[in-house]
Amino acid sequence: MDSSKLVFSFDEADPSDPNLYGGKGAGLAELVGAGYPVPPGFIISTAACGEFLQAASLSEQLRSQITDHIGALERSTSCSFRARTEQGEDSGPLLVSVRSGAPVSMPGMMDTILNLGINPERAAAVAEVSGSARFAAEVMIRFHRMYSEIVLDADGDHIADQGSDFLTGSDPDEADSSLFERLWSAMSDAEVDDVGTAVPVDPMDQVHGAVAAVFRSWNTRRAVTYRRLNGIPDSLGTAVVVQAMVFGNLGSPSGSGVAFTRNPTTGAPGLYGEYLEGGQGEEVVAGTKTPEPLAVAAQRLPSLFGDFERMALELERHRKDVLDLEFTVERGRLYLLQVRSAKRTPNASVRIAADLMTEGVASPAEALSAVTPSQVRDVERPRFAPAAVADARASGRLLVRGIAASVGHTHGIAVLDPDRAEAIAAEGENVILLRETTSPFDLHGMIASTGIVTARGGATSHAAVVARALGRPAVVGCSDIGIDPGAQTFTIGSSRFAEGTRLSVDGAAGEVFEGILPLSQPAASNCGLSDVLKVAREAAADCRILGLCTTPEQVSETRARGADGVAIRLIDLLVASGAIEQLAHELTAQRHRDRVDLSRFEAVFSDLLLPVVRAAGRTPIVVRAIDLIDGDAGEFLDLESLLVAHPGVGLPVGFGELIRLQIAAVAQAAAQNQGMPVAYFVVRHIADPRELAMVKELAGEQVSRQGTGNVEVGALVSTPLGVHKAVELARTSRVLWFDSHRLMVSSSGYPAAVFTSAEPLDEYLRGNRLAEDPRLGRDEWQQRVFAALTAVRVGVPGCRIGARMARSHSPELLSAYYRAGARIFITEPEDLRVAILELGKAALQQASAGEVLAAAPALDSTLPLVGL
Amino acid sequence: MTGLSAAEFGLLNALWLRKMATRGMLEENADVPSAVAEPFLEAAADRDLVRALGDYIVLTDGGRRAVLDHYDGEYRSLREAPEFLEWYERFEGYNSRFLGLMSAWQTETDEAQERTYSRLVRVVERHVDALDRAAGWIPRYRHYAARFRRSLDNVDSGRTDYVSSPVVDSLHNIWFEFHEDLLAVLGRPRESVED
Repeated sequence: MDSSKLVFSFDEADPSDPNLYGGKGAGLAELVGAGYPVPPGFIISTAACGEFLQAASLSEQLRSQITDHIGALERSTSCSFRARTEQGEDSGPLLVSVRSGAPVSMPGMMDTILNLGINPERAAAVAEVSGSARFAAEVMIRFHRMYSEIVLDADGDHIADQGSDFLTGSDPDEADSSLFERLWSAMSDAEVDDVGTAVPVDPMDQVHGAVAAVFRSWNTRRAVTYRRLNGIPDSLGTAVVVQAMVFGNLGSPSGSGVAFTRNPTTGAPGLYGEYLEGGQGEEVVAGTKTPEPLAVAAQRLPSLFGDFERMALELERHRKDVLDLEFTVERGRLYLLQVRSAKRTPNASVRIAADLMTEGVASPAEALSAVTPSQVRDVERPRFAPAAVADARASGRLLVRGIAASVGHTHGIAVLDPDRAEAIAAEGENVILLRETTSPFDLHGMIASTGIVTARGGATSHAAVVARALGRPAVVGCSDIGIDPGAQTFTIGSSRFAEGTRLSVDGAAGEVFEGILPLSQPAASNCGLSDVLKVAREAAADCRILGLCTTPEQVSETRARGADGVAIRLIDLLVASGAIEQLAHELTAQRHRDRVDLSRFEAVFSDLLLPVVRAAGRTPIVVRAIDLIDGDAGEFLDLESLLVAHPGVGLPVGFGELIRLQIAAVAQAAAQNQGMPVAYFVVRHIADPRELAMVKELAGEQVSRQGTGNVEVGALVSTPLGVHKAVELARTSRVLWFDSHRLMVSSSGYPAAVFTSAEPLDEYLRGNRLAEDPRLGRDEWQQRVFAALTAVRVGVPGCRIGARMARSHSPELLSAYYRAGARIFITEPEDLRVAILELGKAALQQASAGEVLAAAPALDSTLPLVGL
Repeated sequence: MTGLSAAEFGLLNALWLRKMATRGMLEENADVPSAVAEPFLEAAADRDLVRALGDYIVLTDGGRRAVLDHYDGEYRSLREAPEFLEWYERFEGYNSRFLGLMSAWQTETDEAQERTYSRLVRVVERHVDALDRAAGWIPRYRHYAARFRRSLDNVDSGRTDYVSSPVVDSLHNIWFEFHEDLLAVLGRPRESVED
């Protein structure tokens, strides 16, 4: 290609080369190439950006190419850009838009400028063609607002206000011909006042100024930071898109509209949108005029909207995604102004992914990858049961409506003071903080509350902003509420309520109900989610996913979320029941005895296990042995004295009595639960096959003594030494377990909590103090862990591999364990659905990459129960 | 006049704006070194202007009165200055835009959020320039400008909690404090001692 060519019309550009034409330019080139009607225009390539940044000015060569392409635009639109005389008296005015278009979308880049070409003289022409001087004046004001803000760095809103003020009280359509001169001067004066310079009058100067501003925006502080953080080369540069403006208010039929290829709120299929006859796009978006539904407009203009619908759906199939389209009809000609991926609610997103898959538009892998973990979590968020809401409404328990400030449903007792809110919440009560308004003084109370209601303030009030930042449902500006802090009461209308009244808050609808509306998990009823998870489950059919449970209720909840089995940490049961204190007491009492007798705890353990084991029914159960040293028992035990009294507890199997008791309890619980043929008992920190052999021996003795209750013992690899000996451990195991979280802790030496929250590691990584985020499974150490998994998978065919994932683990880490060969996963109940989704993605990805497990264990027909 | 030095007023004012803060937070928000802050806050506790609540400090009614009296004494003439009032008018414009954009940013999805954040940054940057101009009247306003710049840097390096989180020195927090401060300068504080 001619390297001196810097400017390309849409049909000259190569859609497959976003590096040269930018993402936006390449997208437009693709639409034009496929025959879709877009307003004509041209692209100034990224090569021109590099030139500009070096020379700090637009070269003569570039200016002349821009002039040529403006000339071509004038010819193709039969309109004139520079002056009306050049194209003859009949031609209408040409206005253009200028947009930035980098190869990758990036923050800090210049916004769009519309209506370039307008000046007092051209405004008169626009007024003439549109038949509305007011419209022409608005075009001018809008242009000044954008140009002054973006190119001149003036306060664009202030400038536009000056223009609007100038128009106030006069009817532009009644004004004399000097109106546009005066309006222009009013805004120019304000610009000079603000930044010492004004928007140029000459259309070509306007274009040059805007193009230079796009190029300069490549080096804004934000763009530079973003590139540095994301490893995008500075040399890439941005392209510029210049496009003819079309108007929905010129002649008839004309109009503008927006459409979604599916309903963006519910995800329901079918074109959905609005059309404003004789209107401009921004009027539809801003809601300043009332448009009609697309379906109504289609009855009037069936052929035009028939074409539009066909195009929209065709584009959706092509892009495999729900689209948001902006379009304008100018004198009966349809133009697509904007085609982009549609914003949608998490609920819609999940349904759309499922529907696109069912319709055959998207493959299962594409559908799964369109659903993110955060969308699944959002769909799972508890909501009021619809029947309960209807019932509350019917029985007059809807107390008050306000402004829906922060979405979500919650309930609790009304508390009128932040200090009391904090104190009551500390006792485990759900609190709704009810205040006149909030200020920073309320912050501790807001943090402690599950929901926030205020009597005054709008959607931008302190309460609203803080509630959203904290993720608390909130309704603000409930002006019917009167609060009497002294009496600790509040009134709604003529009714008076005391602090402590139970309230339910719907932060999405802006409603406050009296009483507790039960919350339910809507995920179960979201057919889209179940379809998506079903596909994920099928893709990862050789995986088993177990949920960590402490109570029988959790077991059924976990099963409902799709768990294949249940994992139990005995220490959780001890802590939840308070038995840990008895155990601590007993251990202290028996210090320095040669033979410790804890036999009475066998029944305690087994009683604690039984309800959960029973609830699990015929599904597999994994029980993790109590770890007194490195676990959650710390606050109940005096570790130092414990180690003095019973030094053996410091070693994985150094306190045999405790291991024996637990095995006995597990065996008993398993024996009493008919139908569950095997329970798994795993001990953390085991690193030597001899340790494992000792636990096996204890289990063997126990089972032969009891004559029933099949317990399969295993090692939970949680130390570098364990990783090193993984193959040896696997040789005598049916399943070798890896504790992903502990492996990070023991290799780094950081406290465990570091890996389960965003900070301080995020900050540490931003400061460039680690090459890789250890939570993602990419660092060298984790590669060794995965190599060990692979060695087990390849070298010990009979042994399966399990991975224990910590709360809120990164999806990437889960996938890495999958790729390395783990097929059994233990997660927290709330992470289950996300884990299923991510395993499905990982399985499909592996399948498409053609990776075949070297020696995958043969699938056992009894797999769900015993073959784990 | 209440006889407070600029640094002393800065500390008490920071506490009045934060309502509850550690000494470290006050030093940072008022830009006052520990060597000055520590003895002053001890003396202020003795004079019953502030009270310790664990690690936190709160103002007493006497302390709130001292802060508001200082505003009244220090800025009385400014409240009549046409140029300052004009400056304030301009701020009200920024304020409504800032709050509107802040809410939009919180409720939008990623793609739209980015655009909104760019606009938000522009409003904040303009306000930061305006603060530098206002420093001729109120020198301590320079420190708000510095805090805004720091938070903008934090957001740019990926810490989006510095947009609106109430538990860090976020743009919204600083803005909210500044607005309260400005209203008090104008003699229209949102809360008085009698509240």
